Amino acid sequence: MNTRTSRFSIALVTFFLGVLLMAQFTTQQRMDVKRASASSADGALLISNLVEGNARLRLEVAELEAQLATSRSATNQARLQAMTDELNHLRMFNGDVEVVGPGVQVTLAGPTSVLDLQDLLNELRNAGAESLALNGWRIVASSSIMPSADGSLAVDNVTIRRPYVFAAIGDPNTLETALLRPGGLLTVFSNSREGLVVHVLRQDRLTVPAHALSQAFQYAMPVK
Amino acid sequence: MVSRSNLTLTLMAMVLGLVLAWQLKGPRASPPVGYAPGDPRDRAVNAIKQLEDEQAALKASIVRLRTELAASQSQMAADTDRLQRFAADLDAQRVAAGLTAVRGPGVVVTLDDSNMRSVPASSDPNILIIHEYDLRDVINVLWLAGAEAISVNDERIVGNTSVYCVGSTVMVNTTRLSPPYVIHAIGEPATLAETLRNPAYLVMLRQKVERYGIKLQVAQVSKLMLPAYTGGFSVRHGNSP
Repeated sequence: MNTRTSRFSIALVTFFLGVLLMAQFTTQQRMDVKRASASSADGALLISNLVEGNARLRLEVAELEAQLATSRSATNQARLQAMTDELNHLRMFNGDVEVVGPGVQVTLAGPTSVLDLQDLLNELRNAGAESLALNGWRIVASSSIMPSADGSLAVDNVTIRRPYVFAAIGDPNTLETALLRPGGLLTVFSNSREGLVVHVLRQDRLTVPAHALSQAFQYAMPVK
Repeated sequence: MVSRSNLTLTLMAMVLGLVLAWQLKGPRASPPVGYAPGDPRDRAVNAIKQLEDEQAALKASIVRLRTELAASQSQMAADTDRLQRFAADLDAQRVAAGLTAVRGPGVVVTLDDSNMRSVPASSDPNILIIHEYDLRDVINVLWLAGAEAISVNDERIVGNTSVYCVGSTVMVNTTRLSPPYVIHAIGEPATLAETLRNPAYLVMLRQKVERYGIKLQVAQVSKLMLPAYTGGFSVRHGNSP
């Protein structure tokens, strides 16, 4: 009876031992597959997925690199530079900005008529003045020199007092030669205007301010 | 016999306990079972590892490139914005400079020589014709009156325009003009016309009109078309700081 009981016990324990060993082996195998996916069918599928996926990723990288190269191309920069230069020229031409440069300073001391001062401004433009100021007031295309209410002169309706001093930026040689040429306006002034003294002074550096008034159009519409 | 069988049971129970402990502890720390170097599964694992590394590198590249592209595109958008602003600024500056044709209401001022054949002996016969200074005076009055664009015989008056005289011929923008001189000015028509009538202005011209038959006519018009300035302009000697 004793022997039978112990045999039974041994058989029972052995059975459990076998079940546990089996369970342990199965778990271990699943973990291996999970960890490395090393079963041949799963592995092949995984590899082909990765190869395809990486090929797509490489295409994406190539596309992005091309886009980036296009995006960074210098075209816009070059266009911006050209436009900036043109804009600066036009702003100086239109009197929107202060301009610094060489030129001549023309001073009229003594009585001066409206027509004489208009004439001198015209002479300066004709001589090649690029940027002009009269008594520190920027002269633009639409500037006027007219009599003022008190019998003096006014530039753009702002009264100015003698002496009248033009600052003309441009090539100093050209300006001086043109202004002082025999028979030119300044010799006429010197010879036929009593009490009027004219000085032309070459300058390496003149400053003319920006025009103070708004030049926005209300009536003139551009024709496309 | 009993003690031997007890011993066997004790041994079995110990082995069972060990196995149970191993099982419960789990396979985490245990080495792979049934693996040997050179196994095909080992090569697959290596391939997968390589591909996964490559994938990680590619994904990192994509993240980096997308970031750079977004930065570059926002720069490009900023550039495009600036280009558009610059284009608009350039348009406005060209209009202000007289480089585009413009239309609008305003006045037409016609100046012509006198029909008189002779002047009093004390006067200069030049008094019977329109001179460049007459034109300049009228142009100055028009600017003062708020004219936005002016042309004389279809020559636009711009920032570097000079109106001068060669012999008895008037030159505007180095173009030769002959009378009658038709000045177009865009602006508020009534203001332009009133300012031209102001007795404080155009004193000499008015005298010639009254005494010598010089012709000066002013007409308010609702529609004028002024051509663009066609000459050159240079700004070579100055800089804007």
